Amino acid sequence: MSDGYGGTILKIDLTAQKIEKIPTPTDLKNNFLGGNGFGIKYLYDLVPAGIDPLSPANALIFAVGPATGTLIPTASRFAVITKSPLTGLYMDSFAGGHWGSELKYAGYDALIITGSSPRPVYLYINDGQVEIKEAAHLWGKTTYATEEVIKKECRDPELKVASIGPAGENQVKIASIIAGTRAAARGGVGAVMGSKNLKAIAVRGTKGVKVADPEGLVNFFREYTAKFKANPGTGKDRPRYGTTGGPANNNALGILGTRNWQKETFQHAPDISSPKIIDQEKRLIRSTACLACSMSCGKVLKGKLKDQDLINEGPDYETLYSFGSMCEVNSFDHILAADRLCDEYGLDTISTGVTIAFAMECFEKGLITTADTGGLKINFGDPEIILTLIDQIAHRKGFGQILAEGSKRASQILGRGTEKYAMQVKGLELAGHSARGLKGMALGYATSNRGGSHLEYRPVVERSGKADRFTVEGKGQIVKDNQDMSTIGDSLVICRFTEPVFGFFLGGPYVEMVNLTTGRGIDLAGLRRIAERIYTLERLFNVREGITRAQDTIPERLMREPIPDGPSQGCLARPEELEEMLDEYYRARGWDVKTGIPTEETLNELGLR
Amino acid sequence: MPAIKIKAGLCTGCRTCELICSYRHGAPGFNPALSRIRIKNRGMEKENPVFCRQCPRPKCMESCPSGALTQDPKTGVITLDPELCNACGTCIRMCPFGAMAAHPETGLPLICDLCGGEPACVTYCPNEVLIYAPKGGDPN
Repeated sequence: MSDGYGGTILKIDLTAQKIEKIPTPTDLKNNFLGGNGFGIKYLYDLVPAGIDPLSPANALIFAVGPATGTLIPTASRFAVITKSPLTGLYMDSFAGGHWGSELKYAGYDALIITGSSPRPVYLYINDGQVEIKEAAHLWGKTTYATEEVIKKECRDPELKVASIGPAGENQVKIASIIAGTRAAARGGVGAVMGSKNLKAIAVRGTKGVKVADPEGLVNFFREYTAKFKANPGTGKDRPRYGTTGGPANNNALGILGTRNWQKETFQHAPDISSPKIIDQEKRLIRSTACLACSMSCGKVLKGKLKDQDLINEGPDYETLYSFGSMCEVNSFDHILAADRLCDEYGLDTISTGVTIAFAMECFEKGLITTADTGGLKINFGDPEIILTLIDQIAHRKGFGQILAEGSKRASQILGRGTEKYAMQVKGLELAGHSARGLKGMALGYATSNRGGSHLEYRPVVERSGKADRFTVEGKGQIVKDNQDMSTIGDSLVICRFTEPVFGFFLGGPYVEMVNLTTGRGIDLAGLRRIAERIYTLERLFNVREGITRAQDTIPERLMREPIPDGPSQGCLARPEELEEMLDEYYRARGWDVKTGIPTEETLNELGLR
Repeated sequence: MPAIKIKAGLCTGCRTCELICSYRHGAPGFNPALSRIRIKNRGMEKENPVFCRQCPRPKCMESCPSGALTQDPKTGVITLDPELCNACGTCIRMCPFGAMAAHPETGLPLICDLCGGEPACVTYCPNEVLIYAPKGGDPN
């Protein structure tokens, strides 16, 4: 079929060591598009409420969409969908690079992994050939080393490998999956992989992708690549700096999470930011890109620590925020080292940095002492301690045993009022975007099915001035409409960085991408319905786990403590403002305003009953 | 004669060239495995793009046991006669640049034909890393 799909869903039961292939169902394609749409449909059907996310009862799903592997810029990403051990809720996490397109070229739309292997294994997929291979010799290895060994022993340097490091093996709840140099990091997806004794998935595909209108896609590529280049953000800033300009830019607006969100300005922001690190310090070795993407946001950077040369792809903005401003670390070299360690151990840099910042504030306030930390002094501004703690967290050693649970659970274990310093929503540590300085972001975090994620509602809507960042009016509808765009982007699957050109809201380009690949002739209303269906089913998964309006909130601090200084001084997301935005949001979604639960009418309308 | 050149240090590994090459050479869509140019990743520090250099004394052609490869004396382009080729793979092994690959289904070698003088990989390279210029000289 020339519809952009690989045509096959690969099901692997690791308990029974059984491999099954089924044709990708037509109604699945029609109703859920791909990526996180496929993910939630399978997860909802396969994973009953209340199961332990780290038990064999959980499912781990890798999915791509109809755009994957085509000339649509950025469409080599993949989605990982599972029940998160960090939040206990629905999770989808995405990675760029070239693993996703390789999966499509091998002929698959999704891998559904269930059960748990009795011993360490890895999956080898070479077009139609699928094998479960021994991985005892890989257990304990870092992600980068794992990839190298697998390529060697399979005698194929072109294999694309997604793997976990020691953190995933040790079921650290903030563990990531690393594919090449890119990370599907959020929500502990790596811990779920570790719980299944699955070290890696190596993929090679030679079948390519057939689409409804290839010539149309060639034209689409030409037209939109020209637009990406003409846009100052996607054409100049991204190719030159990636996202490394972020700390300085957000600091200039006074919305840079600093000192565990005690403040939103960081005096050293320019020191850990471009233009300084790239233009002055000349740290850039080269830029990397996802498939057919002109933005090349991946920045391979160099540094030096204790006479040791350092190199890594990254750190990106979120990592500069989490280890930099959040921990008040002003040494770029230490952040680079932290980034590399996290990638090799397989840790989410956002959650790791924010959890360490949490520990720093608890230590500062005297809520924890060296008696808790095994003698470690965990102070803001100490660049060495972040490296020590990353190692402890990945290996569940010392105080790392507690921090490996993420900030929410760590605070529950520690008690003593530390809970209010865990900067998380639904258990997921906050990304580097201000809920106080961007009013809609407060609602975005509160209603993200993932928790404290910046990839469902996008901060750029308000930061770019598309919507007034200081007001609540209309934010319910704006957040919902922007989430619809993200949902479709995550189903196609394409990168959020395309949004300045493809649009912050669903519109022509998104419809066009679906039709050029699938040939289904969908219209905007139909596409919006798919977005609503996917997001509402994700919500239903969470509702089944006990989520209601009461949990759709943000950390107390962001509702009670105004930003103390800087250009956004005084900004706050007051509880009553959040409530007002929530009312409007639920109405826009067709969810019950009192409970936040999708109404029967909405479920019927979306075909979810 | 002009040839394809690359500023390899600037290659981002976006693989647009592979997609357009495969499509322009008859793939029913996009398939890097059918591309005549290949971006082989060699870790985070570099890409290793490989493509036909239209060698003056082509090892592929010289080594072919069945005389299936011929070279256009003017353009340097190597052409395959699929009737004569027995898919033995000798040319692929002998190419000093690793610039030939076997068709995953037929086993026949895939060779760059410079798209008849307007290489699509060059036209579509989003970063102008690939160029089409007279032989000699260093694009870097």
